[in-house]
Amino acid sequence: MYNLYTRTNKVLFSLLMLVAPTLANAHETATLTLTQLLEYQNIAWIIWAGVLVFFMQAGFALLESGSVRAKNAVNVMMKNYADMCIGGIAFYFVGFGLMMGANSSGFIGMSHFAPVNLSNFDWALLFFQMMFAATAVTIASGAMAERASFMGYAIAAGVICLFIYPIFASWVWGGHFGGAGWLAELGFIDFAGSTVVHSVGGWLALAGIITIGPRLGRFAPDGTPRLIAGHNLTLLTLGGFILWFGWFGFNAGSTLSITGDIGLIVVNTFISAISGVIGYMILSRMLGKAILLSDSINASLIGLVAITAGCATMLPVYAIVTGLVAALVYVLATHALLKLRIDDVVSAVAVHGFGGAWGTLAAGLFYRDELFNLSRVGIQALGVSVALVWGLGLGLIMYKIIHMTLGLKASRLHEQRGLDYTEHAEIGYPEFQKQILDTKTLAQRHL
Amino acid sequence: MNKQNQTVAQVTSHMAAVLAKYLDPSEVDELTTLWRHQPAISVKMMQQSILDTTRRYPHLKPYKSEIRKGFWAALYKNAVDKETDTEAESTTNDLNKQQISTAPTVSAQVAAFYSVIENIKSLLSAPDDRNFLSNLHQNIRRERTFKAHAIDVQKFLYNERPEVPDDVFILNNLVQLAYVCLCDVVGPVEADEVMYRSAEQAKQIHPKALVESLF
Repeated sequence: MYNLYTRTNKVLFSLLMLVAPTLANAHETATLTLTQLLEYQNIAWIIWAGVLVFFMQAGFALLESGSVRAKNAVNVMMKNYADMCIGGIAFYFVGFGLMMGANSSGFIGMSHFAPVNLSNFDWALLFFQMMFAATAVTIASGAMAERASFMGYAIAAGVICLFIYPIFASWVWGGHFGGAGWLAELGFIDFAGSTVVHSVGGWLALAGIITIGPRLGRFAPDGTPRLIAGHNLTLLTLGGFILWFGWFGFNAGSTLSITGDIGLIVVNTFISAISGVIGYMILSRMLGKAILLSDSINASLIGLVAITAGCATMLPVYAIVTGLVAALVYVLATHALLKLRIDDVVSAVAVHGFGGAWGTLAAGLFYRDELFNLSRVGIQALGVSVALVWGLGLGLIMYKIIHMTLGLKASRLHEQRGLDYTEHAEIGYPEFQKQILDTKTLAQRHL
Repeated sequence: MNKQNQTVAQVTSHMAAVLAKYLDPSEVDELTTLWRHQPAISVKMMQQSILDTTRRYPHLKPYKSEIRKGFWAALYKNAVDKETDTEAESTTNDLNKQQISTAPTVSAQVAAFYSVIENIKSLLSAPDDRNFLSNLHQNIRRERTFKAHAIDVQKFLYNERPEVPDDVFILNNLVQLAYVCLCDVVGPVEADEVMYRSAEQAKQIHPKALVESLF
C-alpha cells in the first residue's frame, strides 16, 4: 500500500513538472491583446487559404491531364508540377518585390526582393501571393497541352512569375509596403483576381496557343474542328471538384482577415459556380445540344472565375446573374476561338480570359449599394483592356522569343510519339497504352 | 498456268491457312475459290478479301485485325518465296503494274518503309487513301528536307513503289510527314490508331528495331 502511495506521488510530481511550463505559457498567452490574437488568427486564416489555393494545383493537374490523350498525360502533370516550382522560386526572388514592394510610382514595386526579414503576417502574405502567382502561371499549361515543349514552357513559367504577373498585380493590389497601384487608385475593383490572376493567365495562354498553333489534325484543311477527346473524364471531373474546393480559399482568403465578409464570399462563390452550370445546361437544351460533362465542369469554373472579382461586393442574387451570363460567355468564346482555328485543349482562354473579363465588369455593374454605376464600369473596362494588352502583348513577345531561340513547339515527331515518351521517358499507363515504340528501353534514359 | 495465276494460287492457299483457324474447311474453300479467280494479287484484292470474309461471316469481325495481319503476312511470305525462286531461276520479274511489286531489291529499311506506307494505305478507305497520298505528295514537294530527292509517293496509288533514298533520317521524316497528312485526312485520333496498326503489321514481317527506327 505504501509502495503504491509513493509511486502515485512520484507520477503526480512528474506530471506537474511537465505541465508547469505549459501553465507558464498559458499565463503569457493570457496577456496577449485582442489585436495580437486577431493577427494570429488572420495569419492562420491566410495560411490555411493559401494551402487551399495550393491544392488547386492538383485540380489543374487532374483536369488538364484528363483532357489530353493518354500519350501526353505525364507531360501535362509534369508541367503543372514544374511551373509551380519554377514560378514559385521566381516569385520569391523578384516577383514579390515587384508586386508588393514600396510602390511610389503606382506602376512597380521596388523593395522586398528575396525577403529575409518579414513579420509573421508578411510571410503569410508572401506565401498566399506565391500561390496566386502559381495559379496564374499554370492556366497556360492546359491550353498549350500536347504540343508545347517542356523546356520552352518551363522558361515561360519562370518569366511570367518573374515580372509579367507581378507587375500587373502591383497595379491593382500592390503597395503593401507603401504606395498604391495606379489601377487601384482609379477605383478598379478586383477582389480576388478575376482579372489579375485569371484574365492575365488566360491571355497569356492565348498568346501561347497562337504562337504554337493547333495540334496536328485538330482542324481539317477546310477549318472544321475535329474532336480530340480527353483520355479520362473521371480525372477531369475530380480536377473540377478540387478546383472548386480550392476556390473557397482563393476567394475567402483574399480578405486577408478572418473578420472580413467571408460568409457572403463563400456563398457567392458557390452560387455563381452552380449558376454557371445551370446556365450552360439551359443553353445546351435550348440549342438542342447534348449536355457534356466537360463543358459542365468548365461552366462551373467560369462561374467561379467570374465571381472572383466581385464576390465580396455583390449580393447573392447578382452572383446568380454573374454565373448565368458567364455560361453564355463560355459558349460564345469557345465557338469564336474554334472559328478562328485556335486550339485550346481545356478552354482555358474562354474560362479564365473571357470569364475573368466578364467577372470584372460584373463586379462594377453589380457593386453593392451602387448598382449599374457606369463610371465604375468604365474603370473596370479600362482594367480589363489593360490586362488584355499586357497579357496578350507581352505573352506574344515572350513566347515568340522562346519559340525562336529554345523552341516552344514540340516537333511533329514528338507530337506523334507523345510527349510522355519523348520528353519524360515515362508512360502514363504502361500496361494499357498502345505504344509503337518499345518502352523497355525507357529506363536507359532515367537518371 | 502462267506466273500470275501461280502467284494468286500460292497467296490464296496461304490465306486459306490463315482462315482455317476460324472457319470450317468447306467455308474456307467457298471463300478461296472466289479469290483464286482474281487476275492478280493487288492491294485492292487483299482489301476485298478481308471484306468478303467479315461480311460473309460476321462473327469473324472481332478477328478482322488478326485476319488482315495474317493475309498480309501471306502476301509477304509469297514475296520472299518468289524472290528465292527468282534468284534460282535467274528469270526477270514480269509482273504488270497493277500487281504489287513482290521482289524487294532494296535495303531492309526501305522495304520496311514500303510496308509501313502500304499498311497505312490498306487501313484507309479508297477516297481517304487518295487524299492521303496526294496530300503527302504535296507536302514532300514543299519540305526542305526532301528538296534533293525526287520521291513520287503517288506511285503507291497505282500499287507501285517509288524510289526512296536508303537513308533512315529521310525515311523517318517521310513517316512523320505521313502522320501529319493522316491527321489531316482522318483526324488525329484515327491517325494514331492507323500508325499503330501499320507499325504492328510491319513488325510481323520486318525486324522490330528496323520498323521502330522509322517512327
